[in-house]
Amino acid sequence: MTATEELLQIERVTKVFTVGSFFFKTRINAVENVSFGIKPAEIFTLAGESGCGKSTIAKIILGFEEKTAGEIVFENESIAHWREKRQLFIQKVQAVFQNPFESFNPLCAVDDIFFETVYNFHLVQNEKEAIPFIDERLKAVGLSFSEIHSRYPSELSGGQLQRASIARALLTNPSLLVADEPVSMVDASLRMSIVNLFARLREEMNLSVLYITHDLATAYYVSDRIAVMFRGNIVEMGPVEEVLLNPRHPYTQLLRDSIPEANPHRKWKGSVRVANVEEEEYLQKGCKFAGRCSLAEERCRVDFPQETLVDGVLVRCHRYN
Amino acid sequence: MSRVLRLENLKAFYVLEAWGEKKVIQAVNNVTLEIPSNEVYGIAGESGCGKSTLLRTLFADIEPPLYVFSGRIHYRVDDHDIDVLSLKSAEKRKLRWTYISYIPQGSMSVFNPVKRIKSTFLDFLEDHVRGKVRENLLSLSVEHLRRVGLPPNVLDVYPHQLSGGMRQRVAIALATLLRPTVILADEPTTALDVVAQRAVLELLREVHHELGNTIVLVTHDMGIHAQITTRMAIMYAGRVVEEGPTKAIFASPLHPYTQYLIQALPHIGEKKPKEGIPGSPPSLLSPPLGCPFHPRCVFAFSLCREKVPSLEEFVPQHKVACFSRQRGECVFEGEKMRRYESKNMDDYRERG
Ligand SMILES: Nc1ncnc2c1ncn2[C@@H]1O[C@H](COP(=O)(O)OP(=O)(O)OP(=O)(O)O)[C@@H](O)[C@H]1O
Ligand SMILES: Nc1ncnc2c1ncn2[C@@H]1O[C@H](COP(=O)(O)OP(=O)(O)OP(=O)(O)O)[C@@H](O)[C@H]1O
Ligand SMILES: [Mg+2]
Ligand SMILES: [Mg+2]
Repeated sequence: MTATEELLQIERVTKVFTVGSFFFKTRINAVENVSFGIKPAEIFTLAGESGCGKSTIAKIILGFEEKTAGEIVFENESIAHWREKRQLFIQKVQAVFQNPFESFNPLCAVDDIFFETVYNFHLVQNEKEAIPFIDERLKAVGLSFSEIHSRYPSELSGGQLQRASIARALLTNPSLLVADEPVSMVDASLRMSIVNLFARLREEMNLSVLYITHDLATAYYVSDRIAVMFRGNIVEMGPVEEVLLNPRHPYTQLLRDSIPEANPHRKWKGSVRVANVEEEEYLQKGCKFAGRCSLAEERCRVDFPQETLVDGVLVRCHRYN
Repeated sequence: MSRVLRLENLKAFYVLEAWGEKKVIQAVNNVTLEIPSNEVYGIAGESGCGKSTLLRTLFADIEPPLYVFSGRIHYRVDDHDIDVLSLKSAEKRKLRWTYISYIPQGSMSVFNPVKRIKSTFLDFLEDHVRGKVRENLLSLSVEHLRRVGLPPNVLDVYPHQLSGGMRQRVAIALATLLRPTVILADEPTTALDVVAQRAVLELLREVHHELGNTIVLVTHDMGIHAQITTRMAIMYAGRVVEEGPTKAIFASPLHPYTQYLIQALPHIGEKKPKEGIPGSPPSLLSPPLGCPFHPRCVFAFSLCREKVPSLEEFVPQHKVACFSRQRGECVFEGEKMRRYESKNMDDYRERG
């Protein structure tokens, strides 16, 4: 590797969607000028409001969605070039999709999908080698070959499917795993086993993970850096300890305060305000959080805040300019 | 305490046949439970332990390969007990959505992909109400959508144009519309950020206060259980292994599985390595003999390998299915346990 030390570099990526009916059309900047990089053997968390563009970024990286503007560089080569080497790209960049119920073909037995992957990528020679190979990956996520053998996706539970899709993604020994909410449907104990597996593969195989999650506690536990998104923009980015223990952006603070604490004696205080109209926030001039921010001033409603570096953390808020 | 739902010895198994080979998956295995009315009742448990199957059975949505092998489900409707499993399908349909509503797991994928959200809403209302009422309900649905942070024009889009979390909120708005007495919610907030999650749970709680109804909430998120449920059941391998007031379960979990579960919870500010439970979840195709948890349990003794413990009251209101606990031989962090137990008694007094 040469120029950069990043494995994946996202540079000023923008994605615009047009929604609504014929008479009432709105353009949504689902992702707006987003830049970040992931280093080899780094676990990078992307968190933020539901609908803020996280899955869209994942889909753009994987090539399932076209970006409107910007550039993505993987191993120092533009994503556009990788398109001609799709097979190699897929081997190196694997994905776990947000909804496990949609990520397996409902008409195929789950183990067939595993066999297809191991044969396609020439990971094994024959069925005799394939079964123990697949079984080993499944054991790492608390499943086994016999549990998925000739079972259809509809016959497995949500968490079983989610774990199966993680095991399948790890078959090819990828260098980057794009994991969109990979543990949302498993219990705390399995959740720890899975994030520990990510950490182990990072140590042993230099795996990098783009960990998209709403679970900030596991994000804190396994990841090195975190980016918090709000309405298409990254509003805060830095080491997890800094961002989660000492949040600077008012939205990150709101997120932190809304984490349901696993202690029935300590309940949420007050009540939250969600956006009145989600799309209005997207279209708003100035800071998109201004409408809900208790600290908002006049300039917040007018000018879009620039990023500022505060103690190694990038913050997009006028208070820090 | 009046109850709205009672299940007795419920067994619901999947029977799969592949190449002449028959497999039986014991997803809900001899479950007996009483769910009080006017309560937010939580169900937690390991992935694949049968929570969704239990909810599907409670909704009387039993289709092959799922079969009910034994047991009863009684709902309390207008002071009568109704055995839902013996109802005809027309009667079931009448009960559904108006009396019991159900938010299935993965509700973000239940919408018809080629229909705009509005026509899904209208089809749904069509089945239940007509004319003026229907229009009022449509405007009420706009109100419900607004409360969970969605604009009215989500009604005009197709499901794929919404993010996972937006679709999940649409499903919740739909399920609360007809003011049902029992809401069965299976992982309703998995795709939501914590702020939206809180808004959704607050909507559910408001609906609950307004109607005095019962919400059965399945989630892996112990934080959510701590925040909004008042009682809960812990499932493991198709069985309920612990049941009691939420505060008591957090303060002094009785079953070793529950203890592991609570200890495994990561907290922000804590990076010391935490492990999941050693060993793997049992396969429900051939669950271990005896207590299903015994292969992973540090307290297991010979009886645990032979017999299945039944769910019995250990302290008032708090039940557990564990031989070593029931014999009082389970000294899990002895000192800490005793302290918890006395605090626990305060909770009981607090509840009256
Ligand atoms: N195909 C599409 N057409 C139109 N709009 C879309 C499309 N896909 C996504 N959007 C919009 O783009 C925004 C971002 O969606 P995205 O799925 O990336 O969110 P997300 O951050 O993954 O949210 P969640 O946490 O809820 O999954 C949303 O407002 C969504 O409505
Ligand atoms: N349609 C089906 N056909 C056959 N087996 C099934 C079917 N649905 C679920 N199962 C099996 O039944 C068991 C219980 O599944 P269920 O979906 O109830 O689990 P769960 O507790 O909801 O898990 P999760 O937390 O992962 O959603 C699992 O072992 C699963 O593989
Ligand atoms: Mg998403
Ligand atoms: Mg489930």
